[in-house]
Amino acid sequence: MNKKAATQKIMFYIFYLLVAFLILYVSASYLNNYFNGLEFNKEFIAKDLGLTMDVLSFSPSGIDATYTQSQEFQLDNRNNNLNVKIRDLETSKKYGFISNIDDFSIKSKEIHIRNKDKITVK
Amino acid sequence: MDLAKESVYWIFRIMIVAIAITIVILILGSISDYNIDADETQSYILKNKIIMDDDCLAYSDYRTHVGMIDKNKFNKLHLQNCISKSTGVRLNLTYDKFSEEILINNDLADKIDFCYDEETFYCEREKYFLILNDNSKEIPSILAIDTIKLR
Repeated sequence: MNKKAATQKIMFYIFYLLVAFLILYVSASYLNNYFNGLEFNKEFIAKDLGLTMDVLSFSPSGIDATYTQSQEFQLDNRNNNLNVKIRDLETSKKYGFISNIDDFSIKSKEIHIRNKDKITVK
Repeated sequence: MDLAKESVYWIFRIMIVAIAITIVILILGSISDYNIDADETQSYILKNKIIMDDDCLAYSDYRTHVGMIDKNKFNKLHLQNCISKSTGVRLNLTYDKFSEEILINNDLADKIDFCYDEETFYCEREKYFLILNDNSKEIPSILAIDTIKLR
């Protein structure tokens, strides 16, 4: 085998190792989230918080609410689509608001929701 | 084996690896695909929002009157600003032998006739007996609300 072919083969083996590492990382991450309930927790927070904010949006007068979880979570609302994540590198769970709620992005254990003319989140 | 054959051989191996990765991701994705069905609750909230929110139909002076809707707010432009675009709504207001219909978010609302396709759409229909405030005149009315959203 000539030198060029040998180099190419080494490059492919490195590629294989990287792919194997990637598969192991993604699989371990998925299975870990599955068994410790994080995936379910994300789905629950997305639906529960989304529905809560939709209900608060038509309060007949001003209202304040605090939504607390045992661990920090990330919320991102764009175009009335709420995305919930617990870690940075993972897929988010979604909830589509029925109310028109301004875009926001927040990372906290505790979310303060206020409806005074319109919904604000801190 | 010469370089050209070797390259073809490796391309096939990469394709097999790519297929294997796709299968692994699909299997793991299906295992961890949790879904909490909140369609019924969301539809209930939406219908209540339409009749109780003073940004939607609820009549308000110095306070919001629950169970009373404002005739002046029963127009498409006003109602389109009250709810997001994720749900289609058909409102049918009947009062004094008159009947008015409004579609909100037409792209979805005009598909209400296809609600028999339960795998694609989630639909609900509810009738409310309400007081219609027409420039301080109070009239008994029936508001039928049809909601439709993609599953």
